[in-house]
Amino acid sequence: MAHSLAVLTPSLSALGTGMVLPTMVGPGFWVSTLLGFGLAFVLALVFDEFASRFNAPGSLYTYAAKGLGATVALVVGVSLVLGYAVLAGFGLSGAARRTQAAWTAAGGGPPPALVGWALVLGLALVCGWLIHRGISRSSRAVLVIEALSLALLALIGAVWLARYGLPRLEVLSLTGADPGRILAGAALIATLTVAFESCATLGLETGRPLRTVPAAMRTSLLICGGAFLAANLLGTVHSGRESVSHWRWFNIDAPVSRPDAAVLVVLALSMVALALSASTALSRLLFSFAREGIIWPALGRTNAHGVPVAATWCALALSLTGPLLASVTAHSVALVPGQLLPATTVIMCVSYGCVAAALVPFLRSLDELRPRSAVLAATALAGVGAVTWHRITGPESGVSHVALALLGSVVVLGLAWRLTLARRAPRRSRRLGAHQEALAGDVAPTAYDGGGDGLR
Amino acid sequence: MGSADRDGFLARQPSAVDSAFAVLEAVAAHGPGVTTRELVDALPMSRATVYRILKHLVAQEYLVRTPDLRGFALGARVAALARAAAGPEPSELSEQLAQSEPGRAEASLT
Repeated sequence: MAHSLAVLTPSLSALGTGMVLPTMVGPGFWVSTLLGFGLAFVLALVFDEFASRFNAPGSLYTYAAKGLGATVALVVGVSLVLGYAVLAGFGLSGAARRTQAAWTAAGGGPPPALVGWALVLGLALVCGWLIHRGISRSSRAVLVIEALSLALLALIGAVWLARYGLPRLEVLSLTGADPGRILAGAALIATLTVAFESCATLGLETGRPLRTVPAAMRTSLLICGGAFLAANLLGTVHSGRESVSHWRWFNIDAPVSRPDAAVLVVLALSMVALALSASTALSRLLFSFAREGIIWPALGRTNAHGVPVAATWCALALSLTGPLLASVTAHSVALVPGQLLPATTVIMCVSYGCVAAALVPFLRSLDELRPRSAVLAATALAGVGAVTWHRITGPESGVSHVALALLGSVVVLGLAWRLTLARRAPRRSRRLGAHQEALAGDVAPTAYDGGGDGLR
Repeated sequence: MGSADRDGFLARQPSAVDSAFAVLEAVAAHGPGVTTRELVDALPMSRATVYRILKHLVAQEYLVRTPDLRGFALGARVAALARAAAGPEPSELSEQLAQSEPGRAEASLT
């Protein structure tokens, strides 16, 4: 659950978009939050239908393979690699940026550009070292960071309430609400929740994964949604725009503020946790591909502690492509190219739609299809379809061009991968989407089968 | 009610625990690889109830799915319960008793 929560960065989202949402959306802002997180929760229920039946480090890639076959699975796989890599890069560069801002907030001068690169590389090495120590240690680190960030959010909330008073009940009124702005707000929030399913990649390293993975997805969304809603209400007692734009929550107009420097340090740690979790998910995805024989076998090897070392360092290298691109285009490694992250979230939404579409054929193949599951899949598909449509056709045309270009690239790469596999390894390509099967030791011998060979 | 109860779990009581036991018994009786449809046909429960219980038992590892995900078998946790219920071997029992109360252990074996 710690990894799932870290990817959602509850404190960061709350202290950013959460606080300015009432100003952006106007009356009915809380409906946007409920709709946005509601869609994510419906998606979690869809993924639950897969994650409660089998365990696979390939997560959405395996789910898509089970329902829609190899071609769609490989397209989803490419989009997941892109999505997790960009998120990890966003985490590294965001942590560097906030660390530099903390230095400035504490009274230091503006650091040179090289410091940004040093921070990004240093934090990538720290993430690699933590992942190398094993999943229990990295999970513990992530849990501590997220607990700290939620405590920070509570502290800021308490200070604001003491300073500006409680929110009034009238802020929940829908008088004057604009449905278009509410839906636009919901679409924005839905894209903030991407990659919440990444904890599914850790199923092989979790106890009772068929229970804990679905529970982790749902619980992390509930916690993040609650924190976000609380931040919405805080944003009504005092405008959050200045806080968010100047990164000051305690002393809003002060250029130097040590308490806000401390806030920025905690937020930087939260971004490191995001990078750590996204890199971990990416490494497990690459491990899954390697074990199926569809990429270099070296990425499928683990060390004595069960950590896929080669896949981990490959994931971290991929995560550095975002900051590298930023240093070329924006001349600052601490800035992820403005349109890359929103465009990538669109790609992730398309992946979610593919998995929602895969649910019905998958359950039908098991003879376990029920009306509830079909309704869930249809609702999820409609929701992500609406969000994707809005992000592509919305007012931010720059994002839509980059999103369409990325989507096209992902589809072309996925199809090329499929064709290559079909030509070079046709038998392997027919068996994509492997999951962890029950071992002989997991099965109880029974008297009913005359000695209990069962699955052995 | 009396004679039916003597024959085993029929899951006629509404409690979820009895329903779960009925599902476990049915999987044991049919043998490994029993499908959801076969269980629904065999048990006096709604399809939704069978699905819900199967999902819960698989999540708790009392049941496992076959490699093709279509069938079910009893999980190792059921075997662990059986071992715990059977108790230790007589030699193990005397050793445990000897470690806890030496005098009483000798008396219990005579």
